[in-house]
Amino acid sequence: MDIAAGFSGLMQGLAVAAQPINLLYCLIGCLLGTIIGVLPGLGPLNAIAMLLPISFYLSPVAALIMLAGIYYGAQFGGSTTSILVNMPGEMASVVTCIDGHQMAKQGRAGPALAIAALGSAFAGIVATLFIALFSPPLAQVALLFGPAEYVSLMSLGLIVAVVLAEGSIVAALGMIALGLLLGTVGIDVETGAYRMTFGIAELADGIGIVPVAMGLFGMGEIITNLERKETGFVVEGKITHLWPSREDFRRCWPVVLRSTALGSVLGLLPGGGAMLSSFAAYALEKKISPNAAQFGKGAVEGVAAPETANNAGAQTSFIPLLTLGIPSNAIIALMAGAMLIHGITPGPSVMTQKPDLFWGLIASMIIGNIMLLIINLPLVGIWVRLLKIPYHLFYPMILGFMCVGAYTTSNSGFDVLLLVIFGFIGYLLIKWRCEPAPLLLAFVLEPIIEQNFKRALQISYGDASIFVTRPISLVLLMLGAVILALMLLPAIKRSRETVFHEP
Amino acid sequence: MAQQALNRIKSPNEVFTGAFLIAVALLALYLARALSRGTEVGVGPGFVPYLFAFLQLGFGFILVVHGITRTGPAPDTWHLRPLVLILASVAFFAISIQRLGLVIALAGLIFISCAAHRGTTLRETLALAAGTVLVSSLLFVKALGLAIPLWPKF
Repeated sequence: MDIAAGFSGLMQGLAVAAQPINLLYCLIGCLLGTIIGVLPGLGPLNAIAMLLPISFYLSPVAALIMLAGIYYGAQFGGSTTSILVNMPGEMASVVTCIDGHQMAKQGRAGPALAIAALGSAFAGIVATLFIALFSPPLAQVALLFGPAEYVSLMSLGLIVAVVLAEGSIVAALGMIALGLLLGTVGIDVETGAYRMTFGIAELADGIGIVPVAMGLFGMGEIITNLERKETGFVVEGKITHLWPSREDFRRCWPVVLRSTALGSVLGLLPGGGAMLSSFAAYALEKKISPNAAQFGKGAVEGVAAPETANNAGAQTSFIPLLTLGIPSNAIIALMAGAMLIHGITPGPSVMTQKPDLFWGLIASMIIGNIMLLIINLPLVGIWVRLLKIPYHLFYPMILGFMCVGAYTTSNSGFDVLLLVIFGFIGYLLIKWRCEPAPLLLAFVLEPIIEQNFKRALQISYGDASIFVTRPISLVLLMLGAVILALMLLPAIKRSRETVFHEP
Repeated sequence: MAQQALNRIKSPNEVFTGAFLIAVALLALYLARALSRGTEVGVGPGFVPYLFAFLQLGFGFILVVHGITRTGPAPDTWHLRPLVLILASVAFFAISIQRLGLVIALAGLIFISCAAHRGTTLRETLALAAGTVLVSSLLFVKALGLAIPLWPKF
């Protein structure tokens, strides 16, 4: 029944995604994703933040198809830089450097790139089928959720974001509080009261997500990049042949299957996504592979595992957004922002009320993954040439596009000024080694949390015990409390630190 | 004196983060002071901001205490040139875009931001400015039709 529903939905979605205009935006998204994936220091988060304003002028379907293409496209492009330059083009490709670059040094850059791309495409398509299959039943579950359950679920999501943040746990909790607080700025929906607006008219609608995201992630990064000495990239070896040997395929296919499964599951977690999946898959294969001794010395499995898993995780991290309305990481949070701007509230109703959008987006991922295979394999030489552009010719352009982007969100210079403020905060946080991802996630979730919080209290006539007397809500809150308590245990704290420092 | 006190802090990054959180929370509490926290029928517009601000105040305080008592990494050095010039370039764009239009705002941004990197030559700067202005005007204003003024208004 569900399988049939998923299948017919997918067919309906393919009809939407195959419309020429949507195909075009899918291609644009995939191309941009590949480019920013290849270029180090420019991740999908920055790129999506930059394109968010432009997406207002597209249809909602085209906008989401394009933005999604950037996210999973970056997972493809990131591997290219990791393998050829030994530098992660993208955070989720950090572990690919280890074995990928060794393979390149041994003259096997071509097969490494091919395995990464083929594994990614396989994972992308399978994970998309996974979304089609599991979203309808999950959306059914979501309909059982009342406001109290939503508040608890989102609190859990924020706690998981703390676990995954690098650095001090208290600092990450502080970032969550700051994000929530920033989210409350603007007119109160229920009473119409102006909250903390300094009397500035532009702040009545709240602080825009675009300047916050671009400032924290884009500008802070540019400034710190300029502090370092510019180093040219050394591209390793010529790519002579692309096709992997039969031996490579034999060693990789079980790895690809396992990593697809692992990445798909980890992408579902609140706080999960591409990055977590790639680390976990590499660690798993290093433990169970019969060729474990070769890991770190150019094992083809060490490329296949993280690259397959990060793409699977990138795809399935859309599930919590599309079924529960909860963005599981900062990038998906920006997608949620894009949906809200188009007047679509992310959540279980998207599937029933906007089936074209829902299935169109999912089906576009299958098409996009096939496009990416073509973009990345035969055309890899073009992307390598991009790496030869020196950074100092590159950052002024990014700054310019960010400013135009921030300006167009509200056609006022005020959002650009906000960009200055959040750029400075982003710089401070980098200097203080404090990860801003939990801040952005909390900022995006705040209006949804507050609305549901107030609704829950209305239902219970102001009795706050509603959050612990409803069983699902209680379980979610307890889960959050357990995770938080575990993190504060010294043993786990230490191992959490080593995970981040020795990938 | 201040330098000595700074040296005695064991984890300056945590102390700075904590102090920043406390400062922002106090500002928020001040700004939200007039908002009612509760009404007869439910929570008022000030309740949630107050809740989050106090939460943040608490975490900020813990961070400061942590940072004074436990050792952490030494603070990173700041480089003022890129910081000031990059922020200034964006601020210039923010102030000039409405009045002077995209061409001047963007060219100014490129000139100021190029100065943030020492090795950039004048020729590179001019080429970048021309290229970025041309691409942006064609792409954003002509092709996508965004409502951005191109030239100064008199």
